Formats: sequence, C-alpha cells, structure tokens
Amino acid sequence: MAQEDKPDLGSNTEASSEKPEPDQARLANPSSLSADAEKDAQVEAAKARVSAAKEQAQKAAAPGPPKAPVKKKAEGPKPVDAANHPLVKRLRDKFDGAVIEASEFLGQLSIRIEPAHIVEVCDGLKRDDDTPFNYLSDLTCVHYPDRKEAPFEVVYNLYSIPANERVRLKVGVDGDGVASVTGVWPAADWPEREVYDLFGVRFRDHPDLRRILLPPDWEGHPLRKDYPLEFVENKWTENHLPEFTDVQREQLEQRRAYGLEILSVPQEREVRELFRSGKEVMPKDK
Amino acid sequence: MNPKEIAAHYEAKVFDAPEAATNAGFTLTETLTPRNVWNKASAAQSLMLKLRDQKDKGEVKEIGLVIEPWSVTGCYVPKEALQPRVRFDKL
Repeated sequence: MAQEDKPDLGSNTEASSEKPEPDQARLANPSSLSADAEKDAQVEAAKARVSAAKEQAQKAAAPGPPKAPVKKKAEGPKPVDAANHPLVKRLRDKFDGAVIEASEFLGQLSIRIEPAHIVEVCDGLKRDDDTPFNYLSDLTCVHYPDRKEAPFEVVYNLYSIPANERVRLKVGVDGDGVASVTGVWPAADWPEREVYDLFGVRFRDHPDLRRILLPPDWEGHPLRKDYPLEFVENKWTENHLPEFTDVQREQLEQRRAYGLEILSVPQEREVRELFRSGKEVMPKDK
Repeated sequence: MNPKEIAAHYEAKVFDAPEAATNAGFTLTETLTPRNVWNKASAAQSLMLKLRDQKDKGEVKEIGLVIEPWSVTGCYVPKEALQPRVRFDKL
C-alpha cells in the first residue's frame, strides 16, 4: 500500500535523465515547435538578405554601360581672317604692302600695318570718302617681351563719326620707334607722350616728346613687363623725397590705422611672422 | 602666372631659400619684397627678364629665382671664369 501511495519516483528519474529527441520534444511541446520554426524562418530571411546584398555588390562592381562623354565647354569666339573686308581691300589697293594682316573679332576689325606706312595709312583713313575716320579715339601700347624683333605694339583706335564705324590699327615697334601721327590727328600729341612715358616707345617727328605723367628725371618706364609693379626706391626718390619728419611719420601711422594704407606696421610685422612660421597664408601663391 | 610658372617659362631654376641657391653655385642679385601676390608675380617677371637678357648676351650661364613667402630674389651662375694658369715649375 505504501508503494502505491508513494509516487513513482523511479520512473520520473528515468524520464528526466533521458534526453528527449527534438522531434519528440516538439511533438510533446507545441509552443517550442513554433519558436524553432520562427528562428528557422529568421535565419532563412537573413541568408536571403545576405545573398541579395552580395548580388547587388557584384552588379555594382561589374562595368556597366559606357557613360556618355562629358560635353566640352563651348569654346568662345575666335578672331577670323578679315582679308575680304571692304575697308581692308580698299587699303590694300591704295597702299601697296602696307597691310600685313587683318582679323575680325566680335565685329571689331583689327589691321596690322607695316610701321613704315603708318602715317600714310592713317592719313588715307582720315580722308576716306566712305568712312572718314576723323576721330582718334585712343592711342595705346602693349609690351610683348618675348617678341625680340618688335617687343612693342602701338595700337590706334579710330572712329568714324559720320559712318559710325570703328577700326583698330596695330604697329609692331622695335627700339627705333615709330613715326608720330600728330600731323594727321593733333589729338595724338598727349597719348603719344603717355606711351613714351610709360613704355619708352619713341615717336619720330613728335613736336614735344617728353614725359607727361612721371618726373622728367625718372628712370625706367613703369608699364613695361620688366618693371616691377610695386614702388621701388630709386635714384629719383633718393634725390627728391626727403626723409619723413616725426609728424609725417605719425600721419602715415594714422592713415594706416584708418585703412588708407594697405597694412599697418604692426599688422605687416604680424603677417611676416606668420610667413616665417611656415603657415600658409596665401595657399594659391606657391 | 605665379612666380613658379614665370620661372619655368624662362627656364630658370627655382629655390626656396637664398642659402640653397648659393650652395648650388648661384650668385644672388636683387631682392624684391612685394606686398601681394600680383606684385610678387610682377617682381618675379621683372627679375627674370633682366636675367634672361644677361643670359642672351652670354654674360651668365644659368639663371634662377629664389621664391620665399614674402620676397623674390634673382640669381645666376656666372659664366665660367678662366682657369688659373698652372706654372710648370710648381708641378
């Protein structure tokens, strides 16, 4: 009786010591069955995601269809030959060998003239019946230091008031200079003096060829390429500029403090220190 | 063009310090201390043109430019001086 009353411990201990088969366990416990299925589904989904990512990476690494070539920036207009321009033809007919070449850029006609013929060409243009270029708009110069034979180019901008037309004449000039056109247009007097002052180009037969902007004993011609842009002490400054008095120095300091001068002395010192320490203040300037 | 490009245009050697130029056998010329980059380029070109003229005349063998942050200096290799005469009695 006592055995019957006691619970069957032996059979229980046997059951606990034996490991149940997984299927059996699932069958025995339906809740664990659903959890495992969920896990399996999650694993499958993760595997699918990994394989999809791999495929995508392979597709990205594979060379795709060739890209369309980058469109080049449209080039700007270029000067074209103007040998057939009526004015150029007239000049060629009238002055043999005077016109070296002619080009047109954005409707602006430029004619390169032989230096020996510049005065007669200018005179002819001024007295032209169709387009009398009666107004010398400007006379200037350009320095090309790499052109050994004619390092300067004097440029004449002419305007015809009655015909409302413009033309630009260019003359290559070497050290001998070029003939003055003051006989054709008296207004060429001061522009030629300016060119002489700033470039050192000599104009033959000019009535009064001397400096117009700089002092007469100034050395050098500032718009030449071999002249540094910045002010440089020279003999003229030594002779003519007195040393600063205390008052003048103070005035200069005040001008610098108000920003009228580029940098004040302490600022300049500070910038120089910056440079000495090796910091890049002007990275573009290397 | 910046000073480096200007020096390359005139086939000049570029140094970053005067000592480097003198160690390489160059003789220093004028030093210009411009305030800004535009003036620095102009100063470099002015130095280069002067030196190029000397080179064209055959007065110098090689030209160079020392580009420092706040200044530019021209430099050149002088044309080879005549070799000193060797006295035979001293050989």
